Amino acid sequence: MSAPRSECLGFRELIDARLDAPLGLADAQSLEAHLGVCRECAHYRDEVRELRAALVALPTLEFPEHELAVVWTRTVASDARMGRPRARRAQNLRYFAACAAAALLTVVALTIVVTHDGDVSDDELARAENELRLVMGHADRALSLAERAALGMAVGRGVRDPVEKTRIATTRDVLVGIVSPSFERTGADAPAPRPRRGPKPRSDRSRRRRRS
Amino acid sequence: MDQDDYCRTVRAIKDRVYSYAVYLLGDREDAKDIAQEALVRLWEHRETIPETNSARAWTLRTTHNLAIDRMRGRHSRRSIDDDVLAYAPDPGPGPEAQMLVREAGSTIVRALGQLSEADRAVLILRESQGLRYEEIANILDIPLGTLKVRLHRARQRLREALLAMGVQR
Repeated sequence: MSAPRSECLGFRELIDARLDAPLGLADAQSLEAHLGVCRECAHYRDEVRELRAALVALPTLEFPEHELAVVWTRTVASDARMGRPRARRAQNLRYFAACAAAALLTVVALTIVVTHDGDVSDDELARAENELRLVMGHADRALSLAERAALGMAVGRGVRDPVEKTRIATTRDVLVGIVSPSFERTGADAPAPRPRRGPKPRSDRSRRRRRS
Repeated sequence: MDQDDYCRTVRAIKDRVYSYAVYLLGDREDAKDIAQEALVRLWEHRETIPETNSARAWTLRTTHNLAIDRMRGRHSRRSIDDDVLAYAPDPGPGPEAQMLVREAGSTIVRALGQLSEADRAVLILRESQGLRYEEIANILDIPLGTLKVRLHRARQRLREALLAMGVQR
């Protein structure tokens, strides 16, 4: 390979520039005139054209599927698994609040049962039973909420596929049905309405004590 | 960019990003790591990148920077692997045509390996990836004038490398 003559250097830059964009009329005419008389530059033009064609023909390589799977795992899937921090915190709060409510209501219900002695009238028994059913209904509802929150936290977040969403919703409904059957109750089976608040009825024993 | 946009963008640019890394680094294993890391970083910065075109330029720039870091981390300059095109897609019909294209590609890849990283980067981005001057200047973070000069010199050096390897027209 011989070094280009000094007058050819400018034309070789023009040959390169023409690979990327058309030249102005004056440049194009002077280049064509030079190529007509300079065999080296004409040869150079053919070489750079072929070189460029070879570079353009370099194949685009396929990013392997298993590597792409790793990318999904590190990005989209990891985000879906972890959830957004704020939403996760809110869900945790709901879960713990519902659990606490369920626990408190269960304790209240047990207290009602334990503090009643055996010597009670039929009215008192019916009222206590109503209170108990009501409290247990609330506890049941609170547990159901806790269960929904926990399930949502575990599998529901970040799922975008509608088929998958439907499957999760179905599973959740089945679970809710198993865990809290009274939640689904309607009509005659539903818990009795809360009795009107009033002074606590006195027991027979206290009445007897007052009489004596 | 939301999650769906991210997935769509990754599917659109993953092969370009990987190819750029392969041709720049000359090593498929390193290129896989770099491309993967660049795509994960795109996810991490998705909220600041508005559209697919800028995502492509952003990811290529990240790939470029990661590849340069990887090359600087190497103790000795590594030559380009001959088998980087081993898993290239089928170039066309006929085994003879395929062999010719693969041979020409391997020769070019070896010649690219003789160049500096800067020369290689401009040639790959311009010729193989077909990007516009503005995009390349943005990816390499250099002025447009510098890019044009660098591209002209890189072509000259590639031609000289091929001649030195005994490749004649």
